[in-house]
Amino acid sequence: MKKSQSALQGWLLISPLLIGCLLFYAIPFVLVIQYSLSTGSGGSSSFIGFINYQDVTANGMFTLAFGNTMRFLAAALPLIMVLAYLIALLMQKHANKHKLLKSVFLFPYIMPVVGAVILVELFFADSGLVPSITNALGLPLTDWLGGPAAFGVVLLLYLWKNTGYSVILLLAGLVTIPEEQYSAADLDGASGWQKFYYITTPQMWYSVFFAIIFSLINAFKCFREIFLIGGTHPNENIYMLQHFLNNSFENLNYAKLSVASVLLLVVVLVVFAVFYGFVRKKEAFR
Amino acid sequence: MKNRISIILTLCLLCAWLGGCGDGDFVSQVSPQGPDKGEKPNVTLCTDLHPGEGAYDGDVIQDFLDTVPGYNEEFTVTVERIPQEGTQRETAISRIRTEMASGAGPDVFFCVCGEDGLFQYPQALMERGGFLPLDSYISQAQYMEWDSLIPVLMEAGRAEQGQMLLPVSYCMSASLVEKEGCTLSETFPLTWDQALASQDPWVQSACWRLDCFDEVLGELADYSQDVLTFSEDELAARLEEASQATIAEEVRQEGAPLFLPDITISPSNVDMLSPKSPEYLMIPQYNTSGGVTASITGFVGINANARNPEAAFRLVDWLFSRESRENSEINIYFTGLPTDIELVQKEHTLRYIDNVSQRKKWYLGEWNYQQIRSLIGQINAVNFITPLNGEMNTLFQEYRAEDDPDKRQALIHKHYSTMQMMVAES
Repeated sequence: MKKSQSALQGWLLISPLLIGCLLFYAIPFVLVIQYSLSTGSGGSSSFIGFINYQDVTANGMFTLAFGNTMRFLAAALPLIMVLAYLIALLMQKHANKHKLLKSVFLFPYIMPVVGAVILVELFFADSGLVPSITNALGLPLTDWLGGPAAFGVVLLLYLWKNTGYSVILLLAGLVTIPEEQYSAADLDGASGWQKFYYITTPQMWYSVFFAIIFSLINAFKCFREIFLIGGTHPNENIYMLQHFLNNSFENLNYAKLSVASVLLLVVVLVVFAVFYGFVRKKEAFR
Repeated sequence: MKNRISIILTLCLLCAWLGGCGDGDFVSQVSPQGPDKGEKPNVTLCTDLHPGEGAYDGDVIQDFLDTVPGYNEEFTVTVERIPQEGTQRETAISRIRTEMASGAGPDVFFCVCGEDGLFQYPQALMERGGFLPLDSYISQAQYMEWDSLIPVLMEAGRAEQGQMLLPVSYCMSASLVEKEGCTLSETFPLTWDQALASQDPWVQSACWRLDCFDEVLGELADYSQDVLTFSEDELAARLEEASQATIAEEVRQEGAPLFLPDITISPSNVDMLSPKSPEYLMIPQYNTSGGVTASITGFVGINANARNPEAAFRLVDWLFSRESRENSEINIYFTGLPTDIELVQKEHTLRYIDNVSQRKKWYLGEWNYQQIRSLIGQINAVNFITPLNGEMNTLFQEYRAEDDPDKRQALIHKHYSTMQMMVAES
């Protein structure tokens, strides 16, 4: 009796959240799949199978956007993890001494998007600092925000803005590793690399996994900065899937929008499932 | 006690959550259940007229509705007027788009075409079945003068399922030469290449463009395939040709007949074309496929999910009636020439607003009217004005302002990529 009462209380407490998730995530998700298999909307919609998928995947601009997004993720995630891990390792020994340093690392993350874009413009716009320096050095002029180099600028902006957040997540995992294990390893004559590989890494998979997930989420949020830099139709190197989705909604092209969303979800789920399965096999989960 | 606390807390959270889901300022009154039973059907009319050019008189729409036969007696109308600019406009457009995504939305739309219009690519939406096929309604129309509507323009609003959009207004570009003292040596129509190479100085000069280049390539996109109808190389070639076109010396010399290049044929261009204008020879700006490109500037359509399509069509039917088109000021705000070409004649009353906001009657003399009819007969490409047109014209202006060949090439590539993106998303 007490158990069922306790369970009822729990269900009641989480019911607003459950109802919200159902109404704003689960049901719309099902509708998105329905839209992706139909033409039209509401009462005038008709099922057409996978024709929308064929049309979208054959669309050159969709493949460009999808490719750019995957290219960005493939470059950004490993880079941010390596960078954040290195910084976290450097800070590991001093985590409790320099608390202000941890806050400083988060400043770029909490900086408003517009502020970050203004900073980028100050550095990389045609009259910005970097073009002025390259011009003074006699180097060829580069369109940093409107040309192929825009991809690098966006990548740099993402790393600058989000590395601090990943550092905090990884640092939280590093400080939970008992110091005695490192002391014991020192006594056994282990090198720094051996300590990292045999002590640190196996106990950090869980933290790394969460850091990657949040970095993935932040990578998609980077669309806001790209939108402010390049507008609704930026240079083809930074034309992302979110541009395609956003503009398709404005043109009431719900079928394409739904198909692109479903395909993106499938890719993200596959990547997530592969990595999750890999992490689960590691020692930290046993 | 714990039970009660958790129940109370849950109820409070639910109330707070539901309370946050309130009505906005522009929420439609449309109910998705279908026609009201036992009551007069209500039609929701959404207007997006003359966006971005200052407020228009809201009474214009009510004045139009007051003349519609059966209004308030057999059906009622709720008007949703999209604000012309600002964040309120964006909010209203987003709300309507969301409603249409969910299968609801206004019943009938009176819209102008434009880069920031409610429907930026009407033809693409038409291809996807976003509008109701109107053939059965048109065949039973009581007031619409269908036979006097220009067929080639109306065809632009026809998809596989039938006539879905009804163009209300359009415009064309032409160069005007005073008839007195001018004899053209060419036989029309011509292709763009033939016009450029013509030995007739007037025809050659008609290829010169002031700002607009979008009509040279004819129809810009194939919305059924989501591709542009021209390649980047072709675009580059035409840009170079257009930028090299000049007004011939013979045309500019003193004593030559008056030559007005690159004029948009529209009542709004009253300084160039008016009842008091001299008789002109109108040399169209030919496209690459040997005809004239017309641009649709205003259209009406009925939502594919309209609750009361019959009542909605009654508004459309009356809008296309002679009486409405001559007397209702709502037609002024569609801009451009009416698709009922006979209205341009003196016997009828076409209105425009001059530069001091005076409502005046506009028509063309018999000669100029016949010249326009000749242009209409040469129309072989029709575009609804979309952001593609703006992108094309921006490219043309930037191209002419740039001398460096490499930078010109980069400009072409950049704008061509943007246009490809636009069509892919349409």
